[in-house]
Amino acid sequence: MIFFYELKKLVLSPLILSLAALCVLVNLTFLLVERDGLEPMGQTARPADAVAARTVPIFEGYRTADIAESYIRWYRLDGTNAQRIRNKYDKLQPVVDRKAAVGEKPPVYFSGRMSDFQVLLFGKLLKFISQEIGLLALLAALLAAAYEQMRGTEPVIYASKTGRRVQLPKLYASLTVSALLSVFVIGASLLIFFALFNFSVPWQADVSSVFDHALGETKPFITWHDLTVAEYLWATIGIGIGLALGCCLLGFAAGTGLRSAYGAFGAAVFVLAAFDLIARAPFLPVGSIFKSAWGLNPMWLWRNSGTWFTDGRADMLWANFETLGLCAYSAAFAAAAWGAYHLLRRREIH
Amino acid sequence: MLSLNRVTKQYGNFTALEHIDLEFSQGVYALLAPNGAGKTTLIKMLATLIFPTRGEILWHGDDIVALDASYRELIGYLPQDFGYYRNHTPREFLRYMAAVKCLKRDQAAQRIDELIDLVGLSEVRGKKMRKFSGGMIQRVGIAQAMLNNPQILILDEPTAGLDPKERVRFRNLISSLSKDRIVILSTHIVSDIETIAGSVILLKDRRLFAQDSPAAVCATLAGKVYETDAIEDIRVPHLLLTERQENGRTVTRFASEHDCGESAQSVNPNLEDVFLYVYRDEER
Repeated sequence: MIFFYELKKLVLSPLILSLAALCVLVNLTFLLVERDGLEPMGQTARPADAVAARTVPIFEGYRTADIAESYIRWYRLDGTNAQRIRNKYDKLQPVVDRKAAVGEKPPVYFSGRMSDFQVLLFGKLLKFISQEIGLLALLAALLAAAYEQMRGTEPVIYASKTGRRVQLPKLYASLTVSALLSVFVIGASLLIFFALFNFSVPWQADVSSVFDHALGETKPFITWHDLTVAEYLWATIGIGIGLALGCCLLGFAAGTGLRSAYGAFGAAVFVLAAFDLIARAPFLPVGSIFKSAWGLNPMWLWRNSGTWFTDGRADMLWANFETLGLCAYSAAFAAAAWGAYHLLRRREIH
Repeated sequence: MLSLNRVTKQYGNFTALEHIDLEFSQGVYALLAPNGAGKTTLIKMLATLIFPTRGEILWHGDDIVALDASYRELIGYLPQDFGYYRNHTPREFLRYMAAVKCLKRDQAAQRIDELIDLVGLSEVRGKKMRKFSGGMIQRVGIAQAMLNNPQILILDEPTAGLDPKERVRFRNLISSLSKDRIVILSTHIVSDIETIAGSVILLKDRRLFAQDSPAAVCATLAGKVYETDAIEDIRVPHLLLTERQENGRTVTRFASEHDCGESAQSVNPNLEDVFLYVYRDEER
C-alpha cells in the first residue's frame, strides 16, 4: 500500500509532470524546425520503382578490415591498440559475409533521403529522448528519495513500524514512474514524428538494407545481429528506457545516501559529467581497453546512441557494447542504491 | 517496562548525555530541563532516530535497536519540529501515516475518524494543512502519534508555539491519553506538566539529576522558598525566583538555604521554583 502512496506523490508532482510535458514540447519544436529543413518527399511516392531501379549489393566482397585500417590511419594507431581494432573488425567480417549471402543491399526507398530520416530519428530524436528520460528518471528518484527529508517528515516516518524501510517502496515507485514517464515521452514524441514525416519504410526489412550508411560515415550500417527496422527501433527504445532506469537507481543512491536534496542532485550530475569529461580526455587512447570500458557509461552511450547495436566505431572494442554498458552500469547503480539504503538504515537522523 | 541502562550519547568529543539510568512504566513522565540540556537527544534515542554511544535502552529486557520494527510498532512519536505535507488534508496525511505504521485499511479509516474527532479537527478534516495554525498542526501531530494506539507515546516539546488556550487543551488531551500507556513528554515549560505528570525527570550537566513525583521533587525545596514585599530587607544569600504585582505591592518569591526569620513568609515550593533553583547557573 505504501508503494501506491509513493507512486501518487510522484505522479502528482508538478515538477515531474511539467518537466515531462516540457520534454515533449522541446521535441515537438525540434521536429518542426527539422521538417522545415528537409526537402519535399518527391520521388519517394513510388518506392517500389526505386527499389527495382537502384538495388546495389554492397555487402558482397565487402571487407571489414578496411574499416579497421581507416580508423587506424585516422587515429594514427599502432601496436596493441591498432591490433585490438583489427581484431574487432575481423570478428565483424562473418556478420558481413552472412548479410552478403542473404542478399542484403543498400536502400533506395528514399533515393538518398533515407539517411536524413535515419539521422533525424535515430541519430537525433531518439538520442534527445533517451537523454530526457534519463534526466526525468534521475529527478523522479531524487524527489522520491529526498521527499521526507525536504518536508521534515523523516522523524515521524522513520519512527513508525516501516521506519527507514520506507525507502524501498520509494525506490519501486520511482522505477515505475521512470518507466511510465519514458513511455509517455517516447510515445508522444514518436507520435509527433510519424505525424509530421512520411516515414513509410518497410518495417520488416533488415535495418542494414534500409539504412544508407552508418550515421555520419560512409561505411554500411552493420549490426552485430540481424535486426529489422521495427526490431531496431524497439531495441533502441529498450536501451533508452534501460538507461533511464539506471539513472533512476543513480538518483536514488544519491538521494538516499546524501542528507541534502540539492547536494544529491549535484552529486548525481557530477557523476554523469565526470563520465563524459573523462571519456573525452586525451589520456584514454583509442583502441585501449580502458577507453572502451569507460565508454560503456551512460553518458557515452547517450552521445553515441546512433551507433547502438553496430560496431560502435573505433571507440568500442566489443560487440553489443550498449547492452553490456546498460547491464554493467545498472548493476553498479543498483549496488550504489543498495549501499545507500543500508547506510540510511544505520544512520542517525538529527 | 522501558528502561535505560547507563546510556551515554556522544557526538565526536561532545558528550550530550552521560550514564542515564531510567525506568518507565505506565503514566506521564515529564523530561524537564532547559534548552540544550539533552532532552531531544534522549527523546530521539527512545524513538530510535539516533542510537546510544554506550549503554542500552531495553523494552521488557530486549534492546530496542535489535527489536527494530517490533519496537517501533509500539511507539507513537511527535517530534519537536513536526513536519507534514502542506498540500494534504489531515485525513490524507493520517492515511499515509497509517500505511507506514502498517495498519489495515479498514481499521485505519475508523481510527483516523476517531482521532480527528478526538483532537478537535472534525470541521477541517477536508482542508489542506497549509492553512492550519500551529495549534492545529500540533493536533494533527498528536493524532498521527496516536494512530497505532501506542504503548509508548513520545512527545518532544509538544506545546512549543501554542497559545495558552491551545496549551490547556493539549494538556487535557495528553492527560486523557495517558491511561494504560507510557507517555514521555519533554518540555521546558513547567506549567505544561505540573498537573499531568506522574513523574518528573530533571537532567542537569548531561546527567540525570532527579526522577520523582512532582510533589516529591517540590519537597526537595521545602522550607527554602519564601515570599516578601520587601526584598531589599533580606540580608541572607538568596536566589530570586519570580515577581508579581499584588495590591500595588511587588511580591518577590525567592529561595534561600538560610532562615529568613520574620522578614519573609515561607511558602510551598512549586515545580517552577524547583526548575529555577536547579538550573540557576544555566543561561536563561
